[in-house]
Amino acid sequence: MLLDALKAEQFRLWRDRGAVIFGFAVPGVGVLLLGLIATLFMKLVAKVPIPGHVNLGSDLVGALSGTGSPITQIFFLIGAAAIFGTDYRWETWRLQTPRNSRLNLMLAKFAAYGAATALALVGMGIGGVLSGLARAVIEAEPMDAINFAAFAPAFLRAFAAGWLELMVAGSVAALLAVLTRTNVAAIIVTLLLAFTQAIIMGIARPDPVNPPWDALLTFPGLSAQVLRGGPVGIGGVTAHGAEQATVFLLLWLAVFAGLTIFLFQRQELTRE
Amino acid sequence: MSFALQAIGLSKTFGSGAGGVKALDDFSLDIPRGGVFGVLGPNGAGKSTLFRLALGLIKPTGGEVRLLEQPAGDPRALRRIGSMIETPRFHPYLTARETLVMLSTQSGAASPDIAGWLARVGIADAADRKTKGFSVGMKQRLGLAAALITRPEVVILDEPTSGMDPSGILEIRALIRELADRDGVTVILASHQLDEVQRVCNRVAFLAKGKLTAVEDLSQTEEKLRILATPQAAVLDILGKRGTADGEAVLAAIARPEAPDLIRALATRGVDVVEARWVGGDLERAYLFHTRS
Repeated sequence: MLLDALKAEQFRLWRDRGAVIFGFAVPGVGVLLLGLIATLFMKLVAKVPIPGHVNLGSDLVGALSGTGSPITQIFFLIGAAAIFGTDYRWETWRLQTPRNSRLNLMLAKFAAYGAATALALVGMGIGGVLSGLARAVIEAEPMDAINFAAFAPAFLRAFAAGWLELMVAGSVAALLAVLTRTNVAAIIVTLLLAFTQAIIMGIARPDPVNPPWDALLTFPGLSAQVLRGGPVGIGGVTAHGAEQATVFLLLWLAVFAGLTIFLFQRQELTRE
Repeated sequence: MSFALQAIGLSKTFGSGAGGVKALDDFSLDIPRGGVFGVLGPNGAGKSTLFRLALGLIKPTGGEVRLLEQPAGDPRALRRIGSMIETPRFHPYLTARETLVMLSTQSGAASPDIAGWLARVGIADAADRKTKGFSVGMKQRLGLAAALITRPEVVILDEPTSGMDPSGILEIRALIRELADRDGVTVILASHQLDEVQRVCNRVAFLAKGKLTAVEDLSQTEEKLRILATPQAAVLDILGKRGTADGEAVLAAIARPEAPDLIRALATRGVDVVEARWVGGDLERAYLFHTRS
């Protein structure tokens, strides 16, 4: 029965062109366009070459790191709201809840969001690689060979960090969509929380190399940063606590997703 | 006897405290399997609340509701029923066909006859149109197809002809009767249209203010010819025991083939017939009696 719910949700989602394009395709296209604009600006306006050789591996990992930005998260929140809030918006729960269990219906939504987010991350990676190639062509810049031994773990960490961070944000949006039954609240409140987290992290300034566990637990954004390798990873130093950070991100995801399912199972659908 | 729906001491209150509204109050009803069962009552009588409780969309404040002898909301029972609660709404970016594919997939239905059901409810031509452009009547038809796509044993229809044009209403009435007679589906129908209920239902339950007030077998009721004519006394004289005064009119308990002879007889006696129409007089009276008392 879960498989039925999952197949139906995937079928519906891929036909919701607005959600697919603005929620999950724009981030990848955005990475490519921003890379192109930056390269063209430096060459044609600033007339200064971008420092360093083109490294497609770094471009790919760098593109995935963009998930930490609240601006990037806006698009994923649009996608999450379209998935979790659509049946309240169109009053379609009454057609669906008699056909499958509420647990399965909500799990299917989380699975659909997770799959779409993973594909969007692949899109962002492709956007990063294409912008690197474009820079190599525009600047006639030679490309560094990719060191796969160093690239593979960095890629895996960046991908896992980005996916978990977006899953946590999506599960907050899911909880708000069920709680408020409106897409706008799901997007705006989650976004406000993301900005608030960024501001508090900026004020608290936890040690980026050895962040305390309570800071990792409090800020999913910090956990994602540490799992990615940390802001100091660029300088060759990797932040400690990736395992802890992974556990805390999974914990946040479980808490928000669990609350969403708990609430939805008890929710009265008098009028969605 | 097996039951399609059973309500046992069912209560549902919306809100709490002094502002709470009792939609159903210690409500009990057994709807047997087979035929078309009507649920009648004015707005706010508790019809939609009863259906939403049976489907597990809302939870009872007290009592129990069972569907196909399983507790409300049990997925095993729910997969054997179809439902259309109030005017259905759909994801506007899906076509009618895609809507049915999604819903039948969700039900785990193996090889549903989507084209067949779209044709049966009369929207085959609009199968590949997005539902955002659908009229209320088309949405009602698609809602019916969605309720029936899994070939349910029981189907709950809440105002299935609301918003439809007269020819659409006739088509859907015929479909409802066909479902019961040919397909063996138990149909539970809520409607405000007494004529519709009279024509398609076998039995009917009357609800008022959240309580069951009566259950009647419609095979015991008969339609009558309501004649508005002057002088009324002459009409009553001609009809004898088969005529009863109904305000300024007369209700004639005659069979349809007798109507032309009666009209001729009235004309011969110099009676001016202003109007003569068939009415489900008993159901109208029963409705008013059971829902006002």
